[in-house]
Amino acid sequence: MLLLTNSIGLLAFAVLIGINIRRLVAQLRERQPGARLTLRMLVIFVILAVVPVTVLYGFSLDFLRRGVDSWFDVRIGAALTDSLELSREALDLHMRRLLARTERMADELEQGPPQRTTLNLDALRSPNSIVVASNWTPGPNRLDELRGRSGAEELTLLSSEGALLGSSSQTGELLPQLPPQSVLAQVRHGQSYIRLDPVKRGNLAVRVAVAANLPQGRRILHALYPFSSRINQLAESVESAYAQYTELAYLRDKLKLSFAMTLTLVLLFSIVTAVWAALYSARRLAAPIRDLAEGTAAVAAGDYTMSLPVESNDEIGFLVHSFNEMTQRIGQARREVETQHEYLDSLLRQLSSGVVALSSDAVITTINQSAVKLLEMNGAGATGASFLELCLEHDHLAPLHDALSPLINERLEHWHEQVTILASDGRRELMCRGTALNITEGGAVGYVIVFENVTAIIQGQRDAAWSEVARRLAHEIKNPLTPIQLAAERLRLKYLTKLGKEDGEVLERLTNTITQQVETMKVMVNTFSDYAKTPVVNKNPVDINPLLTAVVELYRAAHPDARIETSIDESLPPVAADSARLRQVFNNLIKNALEASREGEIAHIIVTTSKVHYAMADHVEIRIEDHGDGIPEALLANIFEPYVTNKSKGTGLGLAIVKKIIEEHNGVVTLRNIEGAGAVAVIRLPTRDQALHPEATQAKDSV
Amino acid sequence: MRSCLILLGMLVLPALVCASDISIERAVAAVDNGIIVVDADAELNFSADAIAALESGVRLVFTLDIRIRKPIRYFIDRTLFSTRHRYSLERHALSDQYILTDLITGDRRIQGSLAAAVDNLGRIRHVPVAERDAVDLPAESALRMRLRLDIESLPAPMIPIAYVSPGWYMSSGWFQWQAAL
Repeated sequence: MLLLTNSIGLLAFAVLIGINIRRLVAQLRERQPGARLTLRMLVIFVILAVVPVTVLYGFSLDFLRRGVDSWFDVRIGAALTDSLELSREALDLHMRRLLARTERMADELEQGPPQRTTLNLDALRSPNSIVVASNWTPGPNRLDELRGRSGAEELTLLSSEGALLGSSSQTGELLPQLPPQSVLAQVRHGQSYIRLDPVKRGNLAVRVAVAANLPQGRRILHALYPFSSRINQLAESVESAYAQYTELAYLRDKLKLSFAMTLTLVLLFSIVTAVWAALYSARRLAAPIRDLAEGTAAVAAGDYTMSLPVESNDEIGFLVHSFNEMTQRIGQARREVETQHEYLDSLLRQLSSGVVALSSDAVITTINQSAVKLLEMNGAGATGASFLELCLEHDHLAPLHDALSPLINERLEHWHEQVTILASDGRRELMCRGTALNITEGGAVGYVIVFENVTAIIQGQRDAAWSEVARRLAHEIKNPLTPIQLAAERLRLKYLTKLGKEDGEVLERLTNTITQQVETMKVMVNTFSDYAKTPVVNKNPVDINPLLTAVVELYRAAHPDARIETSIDESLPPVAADSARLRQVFNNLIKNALEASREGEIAHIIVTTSKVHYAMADHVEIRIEDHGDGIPEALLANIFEPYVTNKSKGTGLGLAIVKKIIEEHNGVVTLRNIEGAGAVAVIRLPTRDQALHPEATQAKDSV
Repeated sequence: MRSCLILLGMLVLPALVCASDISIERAVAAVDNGIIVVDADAELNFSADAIAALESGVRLVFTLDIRIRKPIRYFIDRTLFSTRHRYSLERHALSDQYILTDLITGDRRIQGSLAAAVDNLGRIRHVPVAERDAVDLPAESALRMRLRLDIESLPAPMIPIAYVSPGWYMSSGWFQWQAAL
């Protein structure tokens, strides 16, 4: 039962270990955190447990084997066998005498009267039979006499078939101890039977059976001779000692095997228990470390919400507690950083200045929307790209690269530089201010560059300067013009009549020239005066199409040989404008276009109106396109500045005035060459709604 | 190593062992003077291990189980009465004889040879089972009989080995017959 229980326990543990090892192997294959540590601890635990147990097992087994072997001695075995043999020999001599005595009794019986009592042997063997008890009548007879003389305990006469013919017993028992059938068979075959017989436990007797040929037939005389109590005692002693020793000798190997099996079972049980305990302990010990590994992996992956259970108060528990505290703090710091980042983002979005933050290797780490707009670059891929390389990729930012590259590379702490780029809407003046970011003690690790569009300011300053020049020029020149003109006319009136015909003609021609030139100068001075004059813009809703068409028709009438095409968008929304000043703009531009036509060619002008969505707002676009030689590249950048012209005649103020009027209407005017096909002037004016509610557009832009 | 192999055998073999070295050839039951008695003839074949143990003085104990059962249709038979007789067989070294003892009655039968002793053990005669009137028997009773070596009665060191060795697994299995008692 114990063996069975142990075996079942052993099997249960083996299954448990098998499952655990399988799970561990799966974890190792999946490279789960803590699996290798568990394996290492398992191996150490198993070695620590198995080695001493195995050594102990080996020694115990050897000790047991030697111990059991020491119980047995060849000499003792031989002595016992000899004593048994001696006993047999001694008894054999006595038995032969008893056989001879029984045979003599058989001979005497052959001479005596026959026995008449016949009993059925089978009936006597039956415990339920009462035949013996009712028919047996003991009394003095021949058998008693013979038994008395021979010293037998019991003397029985049997037929050759085993039927009881007569019996005499010393003990007075009714039923004699009948011989087995094998004894009777032996006697029937003519061989006397004599044998030591353990009649009862510890009580030996000599059983003798001999043939007796009586006149009535062949009979069997059976006698039982007892031993003295001393001989019985000695025989029992020899028998029992021999039996015990031979049994023990027989069990010797089995005893050793049995002990070995028990020890082996204990060993296996210990090993299996140790392995399981090692597995369990390793798993328990590795569990918090595995949790920590998983936790750190989660933190590395950006999950700062990971919190591990603190299951113990030991060093591991302290470590887990510290880890939890660390993740909490990191999480909190990250949230704060995110909040600050969002705040900074929001701030940068609201800024009209462009802000670009660069790392130490000039890689863009942050860029706001204003910077993207100012620099006209693709904002989506800007972050993470090299700022200087990005400048090189965009042609219009090449001046920025050339200007900022040395400043960034020199790692100056503070610098500022004004850079001019040619943006889609024309020349753009950028004021760039760079500041090194001293985040670490190692020095500058990056830059923050702030871009400001100072085009309008500079243009304003320039315009103001020109206005001042024009005003002074008009003032200084206009004053002497009238006396010059009057003087010339007076000179003509006074001396024309006094001179001869030829001199009179010369005077006439000279005074006319003076008067005409003075008139021209007056016109020029008035133009200067107009340019310098602070505008009084009277804005009303104006439909551009009829205004433009009217101007175009005037030029068509004045230049019937010119080809002036119009493409009018009928759905054009109104603009808030001063129609008189816009008329002046259209006049200037169409006049310029006609003058730009190549000599000998028919002037070809295309006037187009359309509605466009520009700079996040609806605009009315007016394009006036000529097919002349275009504008020289050298003049293109400053074409709207006063006195910048490619014409031999004119004040050089036409386009400057155009630009001034358009800017007064919050519009944009650009002039660019069409490749191989002349030039085009593009005016974009905000629609009336945009002009009246510009804040709505700004709000939308900020979004 | 040997121990380990035997231990492994102990874990695996017992369920597989089905050798039967005792077979009951015949069994009859009758009522004699109000007592249900059974006669049977069994043939026993002792393995070399069993003979060696017996010759070395190990006493072998056999149990004879007899059960009277009432058949229940579509169900397991119900045991009405059961009895167990135990016999021991041992060798008397001094006289070189084999003693067969009924451990309940104490009756001893002495045989000069092992064959005669085994033959005697197999001749089961007039074994009382129960009083006829004490058991509420159906018209037709089912009787079962089994003669087997009692391994648990062997010396302690032999028991584990005996459990896993086919040579020691001596049992007739249940012999069943019908009788109108």
